[in-house]
Amino acid sequence: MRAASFKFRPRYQYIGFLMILPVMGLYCVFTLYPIASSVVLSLHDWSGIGPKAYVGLDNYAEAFADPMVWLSFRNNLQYCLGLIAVGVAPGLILAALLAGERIRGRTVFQTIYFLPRLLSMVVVSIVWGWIYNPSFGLLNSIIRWLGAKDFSIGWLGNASFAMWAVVVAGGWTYFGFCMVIFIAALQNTDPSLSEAALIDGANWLQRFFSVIIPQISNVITMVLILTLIDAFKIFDIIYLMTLGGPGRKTEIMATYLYREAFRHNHFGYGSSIAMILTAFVLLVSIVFQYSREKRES
Amino acid sequence: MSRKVLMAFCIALALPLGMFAESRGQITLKVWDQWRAENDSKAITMVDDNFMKKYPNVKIERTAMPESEIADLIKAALSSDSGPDVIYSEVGIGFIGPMLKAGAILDLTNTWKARGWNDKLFPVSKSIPSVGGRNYAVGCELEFCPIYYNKTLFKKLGINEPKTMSDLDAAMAKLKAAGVTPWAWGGKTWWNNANLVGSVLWDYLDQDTINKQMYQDVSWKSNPAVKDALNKCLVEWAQKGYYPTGGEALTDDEGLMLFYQGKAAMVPNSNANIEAFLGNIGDKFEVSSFNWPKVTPKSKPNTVAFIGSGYMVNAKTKYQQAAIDYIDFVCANPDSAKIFYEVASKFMPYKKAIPNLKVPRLVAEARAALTDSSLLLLPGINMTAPPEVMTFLETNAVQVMTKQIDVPGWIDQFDSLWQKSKAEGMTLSTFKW
Repeated sequence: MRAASFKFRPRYQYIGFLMILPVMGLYCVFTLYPIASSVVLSLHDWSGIGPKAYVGLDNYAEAFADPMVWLSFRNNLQYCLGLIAVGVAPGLILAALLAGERIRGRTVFQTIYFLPRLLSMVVVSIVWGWIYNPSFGLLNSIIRWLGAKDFSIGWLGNASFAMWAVVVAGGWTYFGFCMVIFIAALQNTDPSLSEAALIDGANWLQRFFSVIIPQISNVITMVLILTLIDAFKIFDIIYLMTLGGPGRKTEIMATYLYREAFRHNHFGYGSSIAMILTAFVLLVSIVFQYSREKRES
Repeated sequence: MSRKVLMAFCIALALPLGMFAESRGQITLKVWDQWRAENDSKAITMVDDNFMKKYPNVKIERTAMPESEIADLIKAALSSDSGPDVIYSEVGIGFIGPMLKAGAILDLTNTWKARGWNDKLFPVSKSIPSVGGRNYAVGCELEFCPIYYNKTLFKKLGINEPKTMSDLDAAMAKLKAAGVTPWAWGGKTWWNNANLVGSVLWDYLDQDTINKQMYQDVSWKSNPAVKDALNKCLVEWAQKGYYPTGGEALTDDEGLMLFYQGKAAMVPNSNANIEAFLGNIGDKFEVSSFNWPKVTPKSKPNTVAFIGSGYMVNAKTKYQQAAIDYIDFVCANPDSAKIFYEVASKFMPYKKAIPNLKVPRLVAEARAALTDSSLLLLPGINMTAPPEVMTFLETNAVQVMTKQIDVPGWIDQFDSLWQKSKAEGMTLSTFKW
């Protein structure tokens, strides 16, 4: 009896293409076309109305020489590192604590920790803005109650602390997301390796770093890449909490390019900054992935 | 002919007649504005109704949206053939400049003369939306920024209205000693910083110097009064604790809240907020205002003037006459002005006497100041500064207060941005359209 087999016939191919055509159309119109337009715009000087003047790579040269671009890049990097410290690391630790089979109420904990991720960033920004309010905010109220009145400052207006204050707010929405990903990864690790290490006398920390972490390194790489993309993509939390202040201390690339384009009428320049940002994130993701694959092979 | 055929014939005849109704004199005038607050909306609706009674062939189709939304949409709208006929929006060249250069806004220079607006409207309504001797808008929502203060508290502490900067310093010291923060200020809202720095700057500079700065792009580094002004408001007052603790992290509303609660005694703010003052303070204490005090015995007391926004005409509009009629009716009509004063406490640019005007005391005080010839009413720096300079003014005052840069460093950066804007043709002296 001949085994039943499915032969892929050309007719089905055409039907398949027809099925994805509407989505591809939307993707082209709302994603690819705007990206292509931005690339073209970045080569021009344009105020948003009237004719465009072709300037070649002048916008890019100006961007690389602009100290504000470097400052905002550094701020993005600071946010990224902060997010790793306040989001990824706690997420991994919580996942390690909750991934065990015998943890009671694990689902409840997972749900509670994941909830902030579901909130809109507008809500998060407003709520944390209230928490940080120098007069009636929760944080300063607690500090004053503890008797440390001198530490009751304007967190979002303080040059040294403003960015970290924003990082905490952003990390609060991020660690639950990381935790869920890491829990799934940890549950797919080989328990026999941990048991073997236990028999060999390894303690919990040694088993975690030497046995479990290597098994989930792929996932950790993926989370770090996502963190980098998130950190360089942010706009709303900075725009709503600090507007890039105090005195441009929390200015990031997205808020800077927005200001250049929509406030200073330098649409071409703003587009060039956006392209630089996109290229950077793409490059880092590729390098990260390549080096990880090279290490594995 | 059967009834069905007759009815079909009538419908077929009526449809094209309806479609071409506008060509027989009926027009729809599209207006974009920012009159969204409840009383503002009420006032403009009343004015629009009166306009449509006077001009029955014109229907006003008004769309109210936030200023930020107009800013996002206006360039695309003016580039199209279906944009609004009349726009009520910000009029500084930083914002409107690209649209002027693209020829998207109608030149109203001759209209000002033809409609007699020079006689009917306050001078700032014309001087602010004009560049190179040409006008492009009618400035509306006249604002000026005196210092509003808690008069009850001042009386209690035996403080008189300051007439000189020394009086003001003494008043603030007394307030601070009594445990009251002198200034209600929120540094997170950019406008607050620009207003504060702009007001103190203008207080220290005389009119001749201001004109040279604004219209001849003289270097800001050349006048020691600039350094004195910034040292006063950004260094001295900050060091003496005259601003709220953590004030740089407060929004404008949060700063005002301190004033409403009686925790802060003074607020440099616009008469546009009178309604909010009256609504939030109620009977808690008496509010009054005084002009920025004299710095030297010879200087005139001054108050900085702004216009909230201005009415402009789309250069592509098919209904130029109707658009100008509308602007004339809203801005240069005593009945319209009366409605705005009484319903929304908003100051339209009509300057002549308005009979039987019934307004709160604060509004009456503000209107009297607008017509007081002994007062130097100067367009604020925010009205005329190039966009990059404005951003710097709005965001970098806090840098000095938090000691990230010093005053000479601030002036250096400010001046260099101004000269850069001059080279780009974005200052009043260099802008061409």
